[in-house]
Amino acid sequence: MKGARVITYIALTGAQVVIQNFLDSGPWILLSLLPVMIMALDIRYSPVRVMSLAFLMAFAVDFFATGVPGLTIIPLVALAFAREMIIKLVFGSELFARKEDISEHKQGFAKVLTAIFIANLLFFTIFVWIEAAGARDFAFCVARVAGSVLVSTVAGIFAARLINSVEDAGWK
Amino acid sequence: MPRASRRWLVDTVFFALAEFAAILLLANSESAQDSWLDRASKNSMAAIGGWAESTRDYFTLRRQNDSLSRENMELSIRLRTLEEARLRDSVFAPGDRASGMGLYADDSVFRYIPATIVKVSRNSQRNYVVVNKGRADGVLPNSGIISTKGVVGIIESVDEHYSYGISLMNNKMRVSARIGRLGVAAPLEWDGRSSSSAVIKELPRHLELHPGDTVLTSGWSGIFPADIPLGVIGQEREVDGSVKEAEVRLFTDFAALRYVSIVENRHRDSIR
Repeated sequence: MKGARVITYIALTGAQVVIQNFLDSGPWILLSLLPVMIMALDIRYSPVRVMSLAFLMAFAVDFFATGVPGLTIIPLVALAFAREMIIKLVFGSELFARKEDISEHKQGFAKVLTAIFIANLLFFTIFVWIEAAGARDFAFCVARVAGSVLVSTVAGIFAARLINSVEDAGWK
Repeated sequence: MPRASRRWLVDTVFFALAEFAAILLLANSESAQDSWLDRASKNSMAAIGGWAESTRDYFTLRRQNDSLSRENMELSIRLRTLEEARLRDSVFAPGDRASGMGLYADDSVFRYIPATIVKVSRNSQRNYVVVNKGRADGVLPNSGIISTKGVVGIIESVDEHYSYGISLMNNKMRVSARIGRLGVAAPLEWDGRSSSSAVIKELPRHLELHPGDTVLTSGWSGIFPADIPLGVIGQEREVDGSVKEAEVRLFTDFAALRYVSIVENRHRDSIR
């Protein structure tokens, strides 16, 4: 089961590289599965471990896709650091006590959607701000963040279901 | 120290170290384009782009053939027109660029290397292009990239067989432009919003602009020859009450870029 999850994560990282290289979404919208991948990591993983995984995944995407090492790493590691806070905010502390992973059929669609939305909001706010590097006005950045969060949250729901389906398959 | 506090401290220190490392990577990628990491990244992207382009090529051969035939026809017509102009006007010595023709094929200051776009990005604020010519073909950093429709970008780093450049759709790129062949020169940069428009900035407030006026390269940067058409003037607006800027609808279609030329100024060392 664990091996299947590793393969799923590698495949999703590869999918993110393909999306950034070949999907022409224009300058207003960014599509990223990385935030939901961080949120869907095993609840038992320590923040240090989550941040390390975030660093590796983001580095792979920067290396093979954006061409600017650090651009994706900075917001994704920040999200990894804030992951526990987001989970406690949305689901409460019991999740950690029960060692229960985030999933739609255990916690409900609304809470999972909220968690993915907050994760994407944090990720894209930092990403768009760094990428603009002071060269773009505030209104444009806000619009870009809004569009990216919307699209990535919808895509993130499907990615979360895929990750959880790999996890749940082990119980059959 | 309580266990929870110790754990929180460890997490925070690790976070700070990871972010510091990421910021160092980002800072290095901005200033040292020839670092080994940067080169390795560009190489891998060129390889991925090259493979994808070959696959795409195979399925778009007919459309490319039509496009090349059209381009060939346009070039033949322009060449014929240039030759006729030279015959008519004997004040031009052989090898001079014919004034008003906008042609630069045998301009002795610039050298042209034909190339093919392997990859062009359009989703980011820092878009780039990868072309299939490199050091082995004589490409040098800070050479311009142009197409038949205008400026595409500037070469930033060069590998043996590929070159990586920032495209006009990049917030680091500025082109020295001129409105009309004899008009005011001002910087042109991408507006970040649309792949078909840019903004020409720092225009004098008193300057009268006419929608449809052609914007061309000024030639002042030394990277691009003068008089390469960039686009046409669109809407104008005043900025801070002291200068104005105008939208420029670009001729270059970044979605359909394929064949380009890398242009190198032979006198670049003297200019620097």
